[in-house]
Amino acid sequence: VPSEWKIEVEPEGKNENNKNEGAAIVFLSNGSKREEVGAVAFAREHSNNPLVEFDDQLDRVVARAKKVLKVRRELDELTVDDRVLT
Amino acid sequence: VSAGTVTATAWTVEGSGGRKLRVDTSDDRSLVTWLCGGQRSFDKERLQETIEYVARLERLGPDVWFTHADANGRRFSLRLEGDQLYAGDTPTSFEDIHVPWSAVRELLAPAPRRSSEEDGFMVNPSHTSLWSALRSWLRSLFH
Repeated sequence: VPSEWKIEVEPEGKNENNKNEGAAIVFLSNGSKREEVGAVAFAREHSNNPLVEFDDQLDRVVARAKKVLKVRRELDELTVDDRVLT
Repeated sequence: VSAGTVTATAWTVEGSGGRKLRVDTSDDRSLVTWLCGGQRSFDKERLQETIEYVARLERLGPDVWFTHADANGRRFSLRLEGDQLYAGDTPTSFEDIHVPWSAVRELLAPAPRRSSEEDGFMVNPSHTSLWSALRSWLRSLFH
């Protein structure tokens, strides 16, 4: 059953030595759907923003997710279903 | 204690409704039992990683969930509001039960105790500020 949209951060991608080689993925999820908003590479030298620290980049992506979430909630409020289920 | 014996220690933190979070620690694992009875097992690395992410939640805000899996692949989600830590199997399966994060953090990763012998003169905060004041005074003499 879908619920309210939420922002999730989940680390993904570990190699055999259990070292982080992947990224922290930022999602919007509502219980039935999960949509990726962005990702932050653990290895900053392999990212598109190598000069930006991991935490700073995570802040940026989460801030973006919050904007998307705001728009998503506004759209949900604008959606009107006038039918009465019988 | 003979070699190879695992010394287990149990810790509890009282949460909402008088229910308790329990953490059983051994040399290489921590078994966390949430207030509802759900359990997750952590090796040291994953526990440290989880603690770091919860610290990030302090900055990211109460509307952000951290989702991960324990050492056995069982998923969990955490959320922080103020000092209160909420947990659930998923972000949508949260009950209104919580524990004070500061107490849990101290339990899971006690702050290292530094002796003045180990760390020397500069590490002690009171010494550091004293040293800083002394340097400022010395600078003022030459300006």
